[in-house]
Amino acid sequence: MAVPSRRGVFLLLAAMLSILSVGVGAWLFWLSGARHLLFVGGLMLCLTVLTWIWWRRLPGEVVAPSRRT
Amino acid sequence: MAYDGAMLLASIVLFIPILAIAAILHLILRRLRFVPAGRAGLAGYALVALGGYALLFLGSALNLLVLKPAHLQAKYLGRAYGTPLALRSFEHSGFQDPADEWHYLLDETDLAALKRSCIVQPPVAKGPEPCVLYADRDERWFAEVWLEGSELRMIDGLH
Repeated sequence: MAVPSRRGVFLLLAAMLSILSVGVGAWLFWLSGARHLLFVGGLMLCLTVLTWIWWRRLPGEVVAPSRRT
Repeated sequence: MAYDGAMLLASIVLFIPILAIAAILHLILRRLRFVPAGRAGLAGYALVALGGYALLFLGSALNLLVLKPAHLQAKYLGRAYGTPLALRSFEHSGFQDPADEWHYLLDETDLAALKRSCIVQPPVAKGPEPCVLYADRDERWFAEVWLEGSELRMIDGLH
């Protein structure tokens, strides 16, 4: 199994937080019609995906250390 | 909708602190190589700042949907009958005098137990009388807990 790079760990945490925000935001929207958490979670999820695409092209820690050797 | 407004106000008030904390955190993450240096690192900064807002909103949701109603039910009814999974509706209203209202769908056992502790109300002219379980107020604060059908409803706020 590939070990994620440090950037990968950062993006993984961002993705987890954004998915949690979207989930809780959807529940909050169903309960009260409030959209703020859904909006921030969705925005963060989109930005995480775009950042992942961007950072993949950068030189450096893209590939896991175990694969580089 | 008032909940969105309250969070928008909190977002504006906390705009500078969140950006400042995100900048410090971003510097630490860049030094530890979790975020790349240069222009590509800007995306990392935006993610950290958005993460700060997400944590703020998640904390507020946790407080308003789980912690506060559980504490108020324990205070007014003796224990928390309505759990987060039984929550069917939530409303935050008011600006300078905020109030929160929760509606819980109860099971038959809890409903029967609570119906036994209704406060006797003066008869209303028409329609079914609400089963009030708790009602109190002072010059600034008010709270009421009552049963309506199979729902437990609770309101707490300022006036």
